[in-house]
Amino acid sequence: MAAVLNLEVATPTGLALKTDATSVAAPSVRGEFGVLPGHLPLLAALRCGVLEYVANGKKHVAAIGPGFVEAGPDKVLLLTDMIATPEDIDLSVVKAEYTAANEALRAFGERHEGPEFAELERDKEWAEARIKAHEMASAR
Amino acid sequence: MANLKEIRKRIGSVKSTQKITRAMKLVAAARLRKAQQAIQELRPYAVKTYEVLSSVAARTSDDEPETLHPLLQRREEKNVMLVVVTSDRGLAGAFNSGITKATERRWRELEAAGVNVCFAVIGRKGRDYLRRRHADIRHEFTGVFENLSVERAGEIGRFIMDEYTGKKLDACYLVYNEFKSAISQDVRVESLLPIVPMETDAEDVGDFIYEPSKPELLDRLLPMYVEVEVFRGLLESVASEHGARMTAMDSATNNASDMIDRLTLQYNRARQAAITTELMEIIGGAEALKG
Repeated sequence: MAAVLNLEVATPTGLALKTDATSVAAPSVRGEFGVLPGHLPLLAALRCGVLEYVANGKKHVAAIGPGFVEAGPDKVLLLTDMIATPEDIDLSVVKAEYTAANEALRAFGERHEGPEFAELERDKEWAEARIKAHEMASAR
Repeated sequence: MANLKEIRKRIGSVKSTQKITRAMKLVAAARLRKAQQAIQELRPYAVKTYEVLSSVAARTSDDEPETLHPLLQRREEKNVMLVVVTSDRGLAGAFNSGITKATERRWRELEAAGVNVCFAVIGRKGRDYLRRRHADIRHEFTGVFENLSVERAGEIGRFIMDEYTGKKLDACYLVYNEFKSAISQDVRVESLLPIVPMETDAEDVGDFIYEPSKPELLDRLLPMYVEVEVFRGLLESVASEHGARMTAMDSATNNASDMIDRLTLQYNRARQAAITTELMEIIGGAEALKG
């Protein structure tokens, strides 16, 4: 059995990440899940959150947007619209985005539907994910 | 013999044309670089999406046809839509005519097979062409290239999928220019719907663990794939367009140079001839005076 996972993250703006990892954890729509080498084939839908992986004995984090993940015994393939590594994240900008999205959401009041609402919700979650990724990276 | 003034005027006008073509070439080259980068970045994503989709779809083949996802269902092709991608602007060599020719050919073939053909057009050139041909245009997407985005492609994709799931269509093809390199493009007629998954040997791998359930996943994955495919088609087309325009304008600039050379030669000859004639006249006059 293979001891490493071939981790790939594909986004519309290119192959954002391609590395060998010994473990990967990602947020699916049903909660966090982890993948170690030798994992059974898994296909899951992703939500906004933090991707964690261990490569070369070092732990890495990155914020990811919604998408899909296909995992197998020796590979993990993530398809997502967005990815941001802690180095990409400017905390003050993201926090401003987060507040803006939150305020816009509040303005919606009770009508929790429509494409605009879903978009704002996504913006908010994306901001949250980036803040969390940043915190996790700086905590170490 | 053309007179000197006329030749001079023509040289001037060819020179200013050359200035325009050269400027257009430079603009196209700059835009090409950006467009080329965009398409090269998107391609792996599109390929991977298709792979994931195929590996799921390959495991649904034993399902009953009734439970098969609507976007995977194959129906007898009675109503077919061609989504024609051209550019808004001309002066790009054979870029648009290649598309219209391929469209026309496919249209004839389908009609000969007794199929109703309708169109969705993206880009002004294709729209103008199909309007002239009195085609059944279901939808015109205009201004797509002014700000090309995933959202815009999603809109187009959703329109096609709605038509398809509403059973107004039985198949849908995308006609576009695939970007090969700056100097070559390929006209492609690609099946968009129903989605045809890649052949995979699913038996070896065993089934997946799905999170959430398989139908729910397909519900998300299939529309995403169609949207990505449309977006890819649009980006391919944009990169091809700039490539084609750059090449066309480059040869136009070279042709203008040749023409200027030829005209300059003609001009000098005419000038020489005029001088010679004048000299002859003077000498003739002087000889006559000598008596």
